[in-house]
Amino acid sequence: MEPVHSIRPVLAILASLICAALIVITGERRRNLREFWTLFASLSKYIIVASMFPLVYHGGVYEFVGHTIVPGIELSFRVDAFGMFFAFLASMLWIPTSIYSIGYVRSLHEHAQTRYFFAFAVCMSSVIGIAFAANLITLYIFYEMLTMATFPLVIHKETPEALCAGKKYLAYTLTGGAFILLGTAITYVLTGTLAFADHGILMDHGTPEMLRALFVIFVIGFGVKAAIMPLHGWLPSAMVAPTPVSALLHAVAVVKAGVFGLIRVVYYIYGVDLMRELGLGLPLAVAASITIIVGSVLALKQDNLKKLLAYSTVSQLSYIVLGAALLTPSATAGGIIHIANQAFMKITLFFCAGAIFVQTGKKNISEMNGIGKTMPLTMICFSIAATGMIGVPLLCGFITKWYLCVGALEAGYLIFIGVLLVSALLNVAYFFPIIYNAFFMEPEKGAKMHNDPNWWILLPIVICTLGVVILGVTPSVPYTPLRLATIIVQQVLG
Amino acid sequence: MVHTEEITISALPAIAVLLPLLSTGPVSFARGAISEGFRDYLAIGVSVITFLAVMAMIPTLMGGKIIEYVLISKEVTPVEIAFRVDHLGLIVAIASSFVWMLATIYSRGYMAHEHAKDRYYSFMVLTLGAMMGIVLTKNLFALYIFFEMMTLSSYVLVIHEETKEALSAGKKYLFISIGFGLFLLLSILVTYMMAGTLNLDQIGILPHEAVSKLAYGTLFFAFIAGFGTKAGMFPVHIWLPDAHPAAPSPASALLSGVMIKAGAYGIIRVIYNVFGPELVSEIGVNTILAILAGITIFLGSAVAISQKEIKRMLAYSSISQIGYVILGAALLTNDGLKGGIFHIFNHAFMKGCLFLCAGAVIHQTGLRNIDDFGELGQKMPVTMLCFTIAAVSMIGVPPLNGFVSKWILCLGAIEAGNIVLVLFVAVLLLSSLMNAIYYMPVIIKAFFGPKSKEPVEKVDPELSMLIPIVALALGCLIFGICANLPLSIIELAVHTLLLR
Repeated sequence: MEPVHSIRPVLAILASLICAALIVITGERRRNLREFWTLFASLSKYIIVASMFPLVYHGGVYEFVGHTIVPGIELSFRVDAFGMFFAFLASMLWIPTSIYSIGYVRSLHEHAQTRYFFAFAVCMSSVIGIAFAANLITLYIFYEMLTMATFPLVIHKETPEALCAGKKYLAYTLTGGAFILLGTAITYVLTGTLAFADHGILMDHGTPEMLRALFVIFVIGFGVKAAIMPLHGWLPSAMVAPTPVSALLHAVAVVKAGVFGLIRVVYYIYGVDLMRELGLGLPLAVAASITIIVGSVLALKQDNLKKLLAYSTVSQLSYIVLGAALLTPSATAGGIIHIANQAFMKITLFFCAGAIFVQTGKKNISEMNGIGKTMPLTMICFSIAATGMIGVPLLCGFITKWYLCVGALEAGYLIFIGVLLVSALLNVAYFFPIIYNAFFMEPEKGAKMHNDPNWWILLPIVICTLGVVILGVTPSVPYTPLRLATIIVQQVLG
Repeated sequence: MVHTEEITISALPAIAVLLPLLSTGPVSFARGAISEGFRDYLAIGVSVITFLAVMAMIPTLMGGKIIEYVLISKEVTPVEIAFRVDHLGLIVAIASSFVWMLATIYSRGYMAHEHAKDRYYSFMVLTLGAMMGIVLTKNLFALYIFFEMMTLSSYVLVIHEETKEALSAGKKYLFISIGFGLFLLLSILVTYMMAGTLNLDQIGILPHEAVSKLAYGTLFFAFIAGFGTKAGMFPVHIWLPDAHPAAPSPASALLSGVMIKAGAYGIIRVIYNVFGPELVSEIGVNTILAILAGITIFLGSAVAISQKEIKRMLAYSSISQIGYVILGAALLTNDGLKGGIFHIFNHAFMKGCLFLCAGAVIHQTGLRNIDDFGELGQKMPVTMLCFTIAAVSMIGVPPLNGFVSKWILCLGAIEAGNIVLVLFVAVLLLSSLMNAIYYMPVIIKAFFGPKSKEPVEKVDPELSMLIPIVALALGCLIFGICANLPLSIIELAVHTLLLR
């Protein structure tokens, strides 16, 4: 199908950027109008992205050829199936997150709310820019913009701890960015182009040694945000940010931007054939497996609920990397759908952690005995999402595991099935005590009773939990992530 | 291959050089003769006309022509006095005269309560004339004379405060500059004896294989010592961190943003016009120069990290940034040179903006120490926003102009193919991270630091100071997005210097 020229990708980016400006202009005095802009931005962005869905779903591509700053730096956008997958997911989840954010910051009387909503809107623009980037340099530009825009959110509390975490965040991500830029420059000198292509652009360029070195550079670069060990250090520290930030950005948008970039490099810069020829898949898969196991083990030791979820994110992100690295159709599909599945599950878990904090002020698991009795709805949703993480059938985590296991068989590496099983057991080990304590332990005597939070907070939790269930029960009806992932796999592996 | 270039005769370069030089006297007497305001506006007017004269040359040069203007011909004096504007000279002249104009406007607010303003303004225009002379002259010897003139006249700007520190910084500046300036004079004389000409209109005037490689190498580094001193290159940078912060802030902006570029410009002229890229790579000195530039980049950034005083930090940052330019020139590749020249242009905007912002902070609040910058984002929102834009551009974040020159320099280093030179890509990227280490704390302190409960008073400076700051910050953004505007001139410059 011929690419369709359209300005819609740009509009999708601008929607939240313009609203970011409106948020600042409206300011603290008219809070309701300011919050309206946030909701308006998230809805309009979602509608614009969704309007492009049908054509992309049927194999079409939207294009917008933009401005060339200097040779090599061309700002262009291209909406293919993979970009649509990420953009659709991020813009859809921004809607519940916006609602939740409003409830969260108002309940806690957070300071600098205008800055918070402003930075959040800019982040979402960057994420859509990353998703729709037509070439590496456009992706890099929005990737750096995302780094800069997330920074005020990480240090939102302005405590010494937050500032320290912010410093760590910048140190990691800017270093990663520098590696990406290096890789991009080398790619440009080698091939003279940076545009993503379904079967890669590096074939027949450069020596194998050079291409391997280049791949390492890219993996280090994107691996920072994708939290591949040992580059994950920033993620647990960044949990000092307000919970909606941890939920959408540090479980969905930012970390997935890293994974997204990595997959772009693997399939759209290198291409499957070159990856196989150079034998780059296996080392990456091993690195991912180590991250999966070690991340889960580290999660076991955490008492702070958000830190635990952060280590769980580290571990789960590498499922996606593993899927991409195995280079077989089922594994790739499994990795890509996990972008969506993990997003729904992890955002639910973070929302619940935030709801507990808003209602009780508690952050540590050891203080949460019996909380399921006073906040039943919240903890039921938490349990569903946690069970999904473990990979129990009829919840979406199972679909991922199934495809990854089939993929590992296709690739002929049974060992990775073992990795997945061990990880599932570890997931049980760190999630079940929380559920058990919440529902079956008695609360401490004299402790205050707390109810479920208000509906601004509760509604997003319930919506995301429904997502976890629906994606698990009916994974292969039309228009689901799995179908889209299959289309992507056909394009890059077919 | 002989390349014939079309030459247009125009008096514009003569205006750009002679008008400020000749205005020195009128500016210094203007207050006595008419009024204080008249003197300020006269100085501003001179800088504006100089800028416009430079801008007026753009259409001719964009058409691929070169401007020449013989002021005094050979029939009158033994040495012809002539101006020649090629694309390299033009791009440096545009950035210099623009920043100079803004700094002069800024001075009206900043210097309002300072002493010895007659001296200050007259030496501002004198130094402008010298700077224009350096970049618009045809002859290497004339370039040297303007170069020394700039050293002497900027000395007066450095010691303006007349404090003990300023005087000792000035002394250091003067001794080192003049001392190494002698190397320059000596090497120019040797060049003249060997080549028989000092005109800057050819590529490589020195004959190949006339003397040994060692002798040529010595000559090359004698040149580099002379120009490198002004550029603040390692190991002759030692005067810079004292002298740049000692001057009043608008003069610091010019010293750091514009005048060190005269040194870098000289180095480019030596490599490409005096020696020629072929001869330079034949004797292999460009690798040594690139290594020195790499050390300059690292050293400047590393020392900047430990600085607490804002202006000193900015001065060390300049050392590091000038290393980018010299590195670009030393790579001898198309993109390397392009990135280097573009960085001359971009750094003028970024560092000019940063120094003017620092000046505004000092002028409005008296704070010099970065640790005291808490709440500054609330007190001076516009100033600190512009500071942030310029600083983030320094770090090399897209879509600001610092990113574009960094990108082109990276391509240039990879293009060089030579493994030693490719390593400089890593130097460039590491240095941009180091920039983040010393610029981000300032921004974080100003915007996110601990706050007191009371509402703060807004103290952004008056418009004559604010407009130059905003203009430079906008420049960082505009030339990041529309980099093609300056690059179209720079590409022509690279074409003449490297590909002919």
